[in-house]
Amino acid sequence: MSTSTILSIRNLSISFKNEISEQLAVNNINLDMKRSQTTAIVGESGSGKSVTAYAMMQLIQPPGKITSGEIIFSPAQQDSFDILQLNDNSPALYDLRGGLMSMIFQEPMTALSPVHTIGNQIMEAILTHQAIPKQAAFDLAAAMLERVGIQNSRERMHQYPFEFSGGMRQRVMIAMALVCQPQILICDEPTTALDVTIQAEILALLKELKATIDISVLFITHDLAVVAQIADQVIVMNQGRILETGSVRQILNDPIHPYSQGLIAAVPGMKRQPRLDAISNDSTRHNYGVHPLIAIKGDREVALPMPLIPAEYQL
Amino acid sequence: MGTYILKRLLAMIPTLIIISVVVFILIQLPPGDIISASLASLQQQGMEVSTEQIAALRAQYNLDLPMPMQYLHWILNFVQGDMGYSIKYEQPVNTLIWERLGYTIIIAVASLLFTWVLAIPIGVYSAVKQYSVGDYLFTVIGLLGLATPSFMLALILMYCAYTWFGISVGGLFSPEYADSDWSFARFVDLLNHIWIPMIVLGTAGTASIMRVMRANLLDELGKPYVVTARAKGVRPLKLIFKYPVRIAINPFISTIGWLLPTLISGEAIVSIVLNLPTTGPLLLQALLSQDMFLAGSFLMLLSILTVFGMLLSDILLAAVDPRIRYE
Amino acid sequence: MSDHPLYEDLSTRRLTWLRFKRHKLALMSGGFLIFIYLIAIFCEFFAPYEPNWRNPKAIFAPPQEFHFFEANGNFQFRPFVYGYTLRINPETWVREYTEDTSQKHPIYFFSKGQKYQFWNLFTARHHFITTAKGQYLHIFGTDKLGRDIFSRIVYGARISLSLGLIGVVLTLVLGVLIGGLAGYLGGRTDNLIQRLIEVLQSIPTLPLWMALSAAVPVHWSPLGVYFSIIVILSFIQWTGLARVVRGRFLALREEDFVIAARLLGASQLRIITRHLLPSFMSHIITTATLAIPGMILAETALSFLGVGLRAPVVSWGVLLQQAQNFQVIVLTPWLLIPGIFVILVVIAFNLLGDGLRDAADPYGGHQL
Repeated sequence: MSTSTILSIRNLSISFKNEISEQLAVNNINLDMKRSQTTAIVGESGSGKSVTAYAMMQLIQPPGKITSGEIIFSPAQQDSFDILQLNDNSPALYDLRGGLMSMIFQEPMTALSPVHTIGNQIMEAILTHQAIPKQAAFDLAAAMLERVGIQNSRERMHQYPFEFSGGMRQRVMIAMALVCQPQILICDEPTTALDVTIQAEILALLKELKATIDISVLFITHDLAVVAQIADQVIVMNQGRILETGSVRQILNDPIHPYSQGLIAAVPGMKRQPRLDAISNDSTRHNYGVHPLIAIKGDREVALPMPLIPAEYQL
Repeated sequence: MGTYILKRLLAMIPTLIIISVVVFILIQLPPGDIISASLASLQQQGMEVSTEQIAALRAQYNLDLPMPMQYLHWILNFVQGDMGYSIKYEQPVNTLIWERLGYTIIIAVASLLFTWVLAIPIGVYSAVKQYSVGDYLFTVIGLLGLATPSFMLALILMYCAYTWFGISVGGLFSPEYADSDWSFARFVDLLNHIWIPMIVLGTAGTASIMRVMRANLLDELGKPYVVTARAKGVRPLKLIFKYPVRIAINPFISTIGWLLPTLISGEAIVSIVLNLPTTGPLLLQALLSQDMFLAGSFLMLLSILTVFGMLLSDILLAAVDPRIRYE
Repeated sequence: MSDHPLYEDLSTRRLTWLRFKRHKLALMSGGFLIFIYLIAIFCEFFAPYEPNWRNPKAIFAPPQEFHFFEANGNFQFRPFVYGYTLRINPETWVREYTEDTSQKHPIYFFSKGQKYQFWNLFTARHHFITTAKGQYLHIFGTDKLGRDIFSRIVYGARISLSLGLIGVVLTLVLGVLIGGLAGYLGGRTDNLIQRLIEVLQSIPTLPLWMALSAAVPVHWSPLGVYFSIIVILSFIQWTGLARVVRGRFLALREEDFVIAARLLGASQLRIITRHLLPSFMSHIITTATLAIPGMILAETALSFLGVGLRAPVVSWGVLLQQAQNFQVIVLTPWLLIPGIFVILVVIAFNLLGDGLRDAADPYGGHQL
């Protein structure tokens, strides 16, 4: 392996309990994020991809519960540690959140507090992690806003979220996430709620930022077109399990798992098909979700029942 | 902001006009009027009253005019500050009403403060520690407060104050201060008396506001901006007070306006039990004896107070919530 | 996970019931309310005495204690109470009652006692609880005229509880009709109704009630007063509900699922009955449940002030009217017992309403 691993998840299980049943949202998954690369988790709603990301910052709240596993984080110039071992009140956890690792969300409309100014909210991120004067924090925040493409940043610092458009708010979110120079940026479907043109702008911005800052990105999406543009590594999730991992080229050009194949076939324009097929959830649940085996070839992994595993893969 | 307040002030005028009509109809509703009532009692005592005298008496109070004219007379005088003459107390309404109204406002505001100071922290605690022992305890106490009729609570508190502290707590002043001029000692005496109506009136409000605060905050705690702040690494206590509490409190500011009528209502009944020199007992007497100028003035003033309370809460809300301010 | 029925496979009604069942307190409150309403319906049977019957031997008498052991320690299975001996304190002129162990009044269940007219339909003599002829039983003591408080509470339940129920039905009809109209028609009607509601709400409730009920003629029959009080209480309360209904109506009209139904060509009636009403119903039922205690408390307050129901009608508010000052608590605290029933019923309705609200909220799952 050419690059080192910044974060590795081992045997992570997360369950949600309601009054009737207990659902495993994440079922015993393993994954590795490589330093300075963009790893994308692809999956439909409810596949457990966001929950996995939340677990990385210990943001899961009842009724959700992490039932087992470890998340080993190896930041640069620091010893690696298991995020899940951090106590609820430990200073290390608060350094991690927003400091070493930060997150941007799907809904830029609601992810910002409606009654505080943009400036207040970005400066809070800085002041939480750095002991610097308010004026310095203000300058830092304004500069970051410029950086993500918001003009007149000094005036706009005093404005409220409702005075910004959706795309602008997402830029604000990105500025807020990056202002403390985290080592991992988690993007939880950051473009899903935006118009297509704005999506393109935000993706371009993320790519541009990625090119200039040394940062590892975990990109969560259901959109394979986005994956094709931005990802280095791809993880396909469904029903709380990882079905397949591999490089973006491998997954998009040569998907092994039937679910991945269906997913790719469902994207118009990526492969020509007369009619789109619906991906059957029942088949995933019953056929290849129940007793899958992990098969490996090189840095590719796929989870499949025995008869479906291609011959060149090792168990 | 200035134009907003001006607009709201102008919008109040039609509301107040309709209120005055409703109030006028209300005080005219009871069959007969005070003249016939007092005539009946005079005649019972064997006094002869001639028809001319009756007519003169009616003319003196404009009772001989048609209803719309009576209304106009009443409201025009009212606007000029002349609230008419209380036939029962044989005094101008103006001399009877202002001090009592002052005490009503003092008690209502004190109860409001009591309610807020108590209810909001408890609501926050209950929401953050949902389903904890404390949450259940406060819920039970709140329910009791909500369910106990205020006059019963007043009686029970009076009893407790009497048996435990040996003080009699009726009224707003001890006898020696009742008619004296304002002094520091009199003020202290007022403080010694005002806490019972304050607690009694505040309890029901506390109970309901606490529950609403808990529900609002629980709603807000699940909002994405809270997750954002958590993901930023903001410490829990600061986070809760800076974001969800701040937003969950907003609706309460708008309830000040609605709380005032409730407090004034509650104040009426508590004052009757506790024998307080406020508007409640006098209003009841005025209504029962059909002393229409007195009753009408009270109803009108209390309503104006409420309308202003609502205006005040709207302005406050606009001040704390940028979304409204910029509309 | 496959052993359980999947969450999404259950019908809404069944889900609601499942969620409601988890609220043990709400369930208990519901049971308690059914019990107390049954007592109110059959109050003639449950009360040992007529509400206005006077026991001249017991004026301001305290509650009697149930005994199973005689003074000499003999156990007997049938509970009994002792009669009173009256002594007037020569210094304070206060009546002091003590138990007279020589007068034993055994208690009989389901046996004959005072004659009564059941629902004005037929004459009956059987009571749930009673004593032998010439003996007496005052579980909660007596008032200044020697009337049995327990019997009066039982009879009062019929008035107070039915008043709450009828009042809420009236409030609902007014509120839903007017609020729905405002929300549905919008524009000028809406504006007018909004303004009217605003006006009614800015007149302090209790003074308004006082003014209205002072207008009820003194010579009206008890039934007339009863209904006019209901009308007065509902007349004020509908405004709150109307606001809520209007708001929900306006919001729902813009909901995607309603627009979708409209675009699919559903008729107006179908949209209202299939989409709007169901989304409303749970809310309305909850609001109604939470409004009943308000009615009961309001009646109590008005009657306490002497402008509500009047004797000879027996309601919990009328009973509490005797507890006007705090000497009552010192000398005859049992006159406050009706208040305990008011509190219990109000709490029960609140808990039931809370349970219903949580159960009916389809998005409330995360709290469970």
